[in-house]
Amino acid sequence: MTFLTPAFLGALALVGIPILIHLIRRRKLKIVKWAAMDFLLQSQKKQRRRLRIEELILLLLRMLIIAAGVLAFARPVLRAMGVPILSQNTHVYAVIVLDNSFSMAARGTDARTSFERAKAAANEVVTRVLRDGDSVSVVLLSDKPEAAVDSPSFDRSLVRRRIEAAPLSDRTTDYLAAAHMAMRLLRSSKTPVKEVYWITDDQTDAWATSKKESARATWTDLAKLARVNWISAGSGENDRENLEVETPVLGSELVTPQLATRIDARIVNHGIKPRNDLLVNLVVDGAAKGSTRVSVPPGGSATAEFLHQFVRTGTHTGSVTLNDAHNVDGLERDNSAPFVVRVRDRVKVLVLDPRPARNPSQSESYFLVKAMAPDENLESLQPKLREGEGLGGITLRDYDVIAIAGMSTLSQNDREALSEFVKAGGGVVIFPGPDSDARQINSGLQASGLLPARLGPKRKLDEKNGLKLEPSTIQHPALTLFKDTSNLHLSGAQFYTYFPLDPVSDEANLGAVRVMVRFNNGDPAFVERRVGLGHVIIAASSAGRQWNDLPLQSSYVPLIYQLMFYLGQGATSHRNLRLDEPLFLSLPLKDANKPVRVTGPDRRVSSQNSALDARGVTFRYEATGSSGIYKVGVTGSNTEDAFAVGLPTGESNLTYADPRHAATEAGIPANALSVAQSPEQIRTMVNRARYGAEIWYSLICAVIGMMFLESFLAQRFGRRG
Amino acid sequence: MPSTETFLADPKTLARINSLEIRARTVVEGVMTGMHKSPYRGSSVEFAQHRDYVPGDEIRHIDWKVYARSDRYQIKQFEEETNLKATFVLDCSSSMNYKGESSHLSKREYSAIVAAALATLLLKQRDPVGLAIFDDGVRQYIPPAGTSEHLRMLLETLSRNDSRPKTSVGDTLHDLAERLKRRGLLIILSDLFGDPEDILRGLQHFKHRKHEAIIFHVLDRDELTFPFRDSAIFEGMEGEESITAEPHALRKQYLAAFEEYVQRLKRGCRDLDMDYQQLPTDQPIDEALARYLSVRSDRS
Repeated sequence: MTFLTPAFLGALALVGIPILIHLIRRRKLKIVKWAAMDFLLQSQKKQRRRLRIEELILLLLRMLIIAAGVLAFARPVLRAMGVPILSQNTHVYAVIVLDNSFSMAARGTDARTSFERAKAAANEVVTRVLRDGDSVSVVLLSDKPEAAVDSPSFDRSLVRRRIEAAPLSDRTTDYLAAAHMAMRLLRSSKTPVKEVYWITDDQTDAWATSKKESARATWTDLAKLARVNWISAGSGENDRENLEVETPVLGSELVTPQLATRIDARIVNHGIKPRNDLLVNLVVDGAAKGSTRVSVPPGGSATAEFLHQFVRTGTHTGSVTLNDAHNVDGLERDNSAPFVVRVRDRVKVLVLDPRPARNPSQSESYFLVKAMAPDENLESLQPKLREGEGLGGITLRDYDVIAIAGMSTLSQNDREALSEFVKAGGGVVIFPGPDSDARQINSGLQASGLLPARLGPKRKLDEKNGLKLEPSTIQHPALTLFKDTSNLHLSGAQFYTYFPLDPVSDEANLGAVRVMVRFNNGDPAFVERRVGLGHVIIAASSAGRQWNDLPLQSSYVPLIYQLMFYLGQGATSHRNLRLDEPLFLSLPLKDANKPVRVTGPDRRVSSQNSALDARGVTFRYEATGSSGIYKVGVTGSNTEDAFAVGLPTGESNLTYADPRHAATEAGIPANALSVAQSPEQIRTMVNRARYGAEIWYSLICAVIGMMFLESFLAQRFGRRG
Repeated sequence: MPSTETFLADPKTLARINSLEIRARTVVEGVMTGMHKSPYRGSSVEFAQHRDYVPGDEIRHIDWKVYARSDRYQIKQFEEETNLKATFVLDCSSSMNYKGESSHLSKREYSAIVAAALATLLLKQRDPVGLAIFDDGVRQYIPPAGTSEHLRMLLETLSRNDSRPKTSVGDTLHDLAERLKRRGLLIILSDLFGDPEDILRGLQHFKHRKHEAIIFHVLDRDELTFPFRDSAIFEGMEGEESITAEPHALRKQYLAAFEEYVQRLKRGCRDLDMDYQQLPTDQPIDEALARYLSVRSDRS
């Protein structure tokens, strides 16, 4: 407790007045010569203890009244614990943490977005709360926080400009990440008094990373370093309605004009009211190409399904968009999800069958080739069968994909040729067969750096206990279509013989080796490895009929198509990216060292040259921090392409978390945290945190209350004056 | 309580009169105004002696034979009457000096007037009157006699205002009971502050000795109501420890204790067949006495 006018404290000596009065009165008491003394003594004896206590209560009460009155004049202020005393001349270092995750685009009933309110609050802090001589840093809060003003700035107008210019991001919120950055800034400052202004929309999921035990220390340390002033800039409604269109799931990114492709988008209702008959539109190349209606229960989701046939080859951009006719959805940002589909005439596949059977239908390659060209009119895949050992005399670059059915051995030259083909962006899929030798395959592919998984000793199962593919284990984008088992069920096939696959670890390229799908016993069924710009997939079982009945299943043809289209996409990275996933383009030789223009979703154009190295002509673009369509063109060339970057999931759930409760749970002591909403509250909150809350009014009330109490007790005890 | 203005001997008036004799007369006049015959007339058949007729005596008691012989009005006195020797037992301890702020007479002065008045009345009837003054013991004893000189001596003794701090009513009564050989009437005037059991044992002793006793319990109005409001230091008049007290806080307890004590005395007196009369010092003495004597007369 501190006092604004401590000089008055000297008057505390006045509490002695009741004692003095008591003593003086005692001295000046009238003396009564009394005859019936025995009776008086008798009465007094019985009541002496009670009388003493009553007298003491009254005396203490009177002293308290004086003490409280004097204290009220001294204007005491109550201060939160653990905060250094701040005088009017002490300077402050403030870190303003401004939430710019995309949920801040939510519009409240006042027609302002949370971000507009947050900026206004930040401006209020800089203009009205901080004073000349105070220094400021500004952190933009998201899952990838960045400093808008890094070094402590004394130039408040600069800080205001930076705040005004701060963009809304397409990122999720991660309080812990921002807390780490704020800690770094706070530690770098030598200013003794530090404050953090945390301006956010209070989403529950923003605390997700802070729930770990290890995060607790960060929040506790932050509260030790600085007073945390929490400013809620959200709509303030606890039941915030929001619908989200998730990034569409494409049947394939690479299609041919002969094939219609599925485009599915999940519509998620994050609100508490059911939303029925929602109109969902499919837009391709700027034109509406279809619409459907879905009903979504509260907290649930529904899938909007489209089937679209791309007639023209090339790169097509599109979106699945929710039509919020009633405008009940506060956050429009996630009502549309972009996608890109590449259409090629066909994918060329070289099918190698090292040991063909005399009866072609017994060959390992038979069903594979049949699956690739089921209908001559629909030749999306263009398979070419090569029977016999070795790759001699074949120009591998003429093909997009090489499929080896019943792999046996590879010569040194073949290994090198295959390795070069893959590194340059080609796709290889390897099926073992009855003539395969695990050791030879392992050593051969290992030597060329193409081995996705080591083949273990062959396992044979009886026909009744065959293994099945488990769609729920699918993580790979090439097979995502099969996760929905309503139409196609991969698990229909039985596998009797297979090589257990042990995925290799590629320490140089983390994430390069991926299990695509597993058997129902957990063993990997297909494993992919990214090598250079290309991909190698190895299967645990054969492509032919001898080890499984997969070729007889309705899912066989789609599976082969998915694998071929995935592998056939070439060196260029897939077109539908996550936020921050780099965009990678393999260009023809003619585009070497030419400037490549990237037009971002915000229509900003950036340019950098393509590179020419051992992999050929490539272009890599890392600034994919915004969601939307990125258009790429090479200056002086007709090469054009496009990429889609989807919004991250998780940010659309606007569920409110009370900062007092959540922050305390995370590790900020309640007394180190103040929470405000309006500008007035912010000023009051900060003043209270800095200088404490004045309690003279409460003391005056207490004095009045105690005077009444004294009067009542004096009456009751039979004492006056 | 009747208004003091209607009586001749109200304490306010008496307080302005210095002479006890005049005070006594004033009271007697007041008493006589309300009562025209002696309350202590005898009715015994055993003739004792003759005495001169005094106004107030009943004519039927005049011995006409003596009148015929001597031409003097003589009254026949019987054994009962001649034996009525009244002794005033007056408390002169310090506590009797208490005079409340609203009182005009101290208990001692009030008692002296009562005693003087009654003595005057009795002596007018030629009843011998004695006086015992006590505090912690019998300080002075004047045996009963019936002469006017004797009255003067009594009044003079009553007028003295010296006192001792202690009272010992019980012991004094025992002492007196031993001293008074012939049975008679004891008129006790005291505030009776002491152990009521002791006092009652003393009275019991009188009873045993066939004495008749009238107890005038002389109290100040303050002692009956404890009217104090402000805190005060109460100092005992008989050497008790002094206390600082909040009268408000003590009044209830005090009055309860006092009432219990008075009731104990009243009950004790009734049991001993003795008359108990409370005399608050703000009560007109003649009125109080007249009422008492009237009751007494009715009883006899």
